[in-house]
Amino acid sequence: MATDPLTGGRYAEPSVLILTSLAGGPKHGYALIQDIREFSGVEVGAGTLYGALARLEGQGMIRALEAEERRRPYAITSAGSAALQEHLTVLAKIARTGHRRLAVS
Amino acid sequence: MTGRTAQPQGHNDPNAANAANAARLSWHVRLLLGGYPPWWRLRYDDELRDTVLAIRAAGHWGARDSRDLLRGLVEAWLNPAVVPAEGPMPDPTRRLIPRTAWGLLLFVLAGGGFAKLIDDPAVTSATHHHPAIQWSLWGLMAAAGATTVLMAACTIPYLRAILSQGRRDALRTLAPLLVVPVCAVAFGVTLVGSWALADSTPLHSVRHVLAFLALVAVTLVAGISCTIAVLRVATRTPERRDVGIGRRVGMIAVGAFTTIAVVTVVGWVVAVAIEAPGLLHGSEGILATPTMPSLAAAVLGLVGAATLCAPTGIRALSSRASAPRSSS
Repeated sequence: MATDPLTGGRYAEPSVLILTSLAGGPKHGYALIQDIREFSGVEVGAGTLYGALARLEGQGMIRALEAEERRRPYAITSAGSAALQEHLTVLAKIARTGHRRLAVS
Repeated sequence: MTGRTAQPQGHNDPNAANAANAARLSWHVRLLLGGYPPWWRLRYDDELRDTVLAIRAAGHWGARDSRDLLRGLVEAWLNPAVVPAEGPMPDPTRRLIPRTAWGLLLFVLAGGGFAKLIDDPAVTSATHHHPAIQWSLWGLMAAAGATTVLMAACTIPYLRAILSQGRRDALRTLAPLLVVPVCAVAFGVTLVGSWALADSTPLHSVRHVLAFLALVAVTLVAGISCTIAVLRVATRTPERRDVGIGRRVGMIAVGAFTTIAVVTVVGWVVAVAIEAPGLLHGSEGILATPTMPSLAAAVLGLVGAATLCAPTGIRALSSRASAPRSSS
């Protein structure tokens, strides 16, 4: 996938990508990286991923489930779902406005 | 979506785990992973290591991933409160450790600069004529020596905790410290060799410059190697053990060291101003030479270091400084 010149390939903050991924079900670190790559084409590094996971966990947006050997899955919380919903609503509004204005011009 | 307990995804490749286990972590990745703060590693090390292994096993690892890991490491040190507070190391201690580490690093740099400045021949000859200057320098050395002893003493509980985890594990944990005597020998040999090389040669001769560069290179390599080795051992220390006494003494040492040293440095400047104002204001004085910005930078650096470290000392002395005691 070619790099977007406007965003340098980053369509959204890692937190938004993680919450979007977890909205589809609990996942551990590597599964999150794979899923995010598939639905957005964004390559999230391990350092960025765990920095964002720690922040989200601290904010109560996600919660850690029981570890399976060395892998610990994460699940989105109600606070995380609400925050993601609000964020996506704003993004959708921006997208609609952008498309409408492009169509006019 | 809240409270999902469905089977986590990501286990659809049965060979992934075997491939991940087979993948070897290169030394620089191990170094990066080992460089994360202890409170971070207690919570995330297993998962992060597993994720890195999986990425490498899939053949996706590159320089960008190493840079990303480094960025995460820096962020983890700069934002200690990011890790959820219910971890084994409480939040205030977690905030103090990186601040103190940066303070001590700044202290070493600024202190080294200050030591180099007072090595000036004009200063060393002044110490023979002005007792106040001599006493202030002795004070600085005494503060450094006392704190070194105090800090060495506070490592005893950590060593005890390491040794109590069993002989084999203890040896593996302490193995990086073997670098220290090797570096000490290398430094000694280089010191003697450079002295022999530069002896009786003019200051700007090739031999003198070579000897100086060799000494600087070995000092840098030895210093960095020893620092990494000690950090590795420190981050492998079983944190859940009761090492509260060592932590508390260490915090007091940090606060005392910075306070005493800064007071001594300020005292040195005052002593020079009173006893030998020519050293400051004369035509050859510090204020009239390019040395002044360096001196100002060194003193500002020391004050900055004290500012960073002082909360640690204050907290250690306050009644709220109860070190975390764990049940394990």
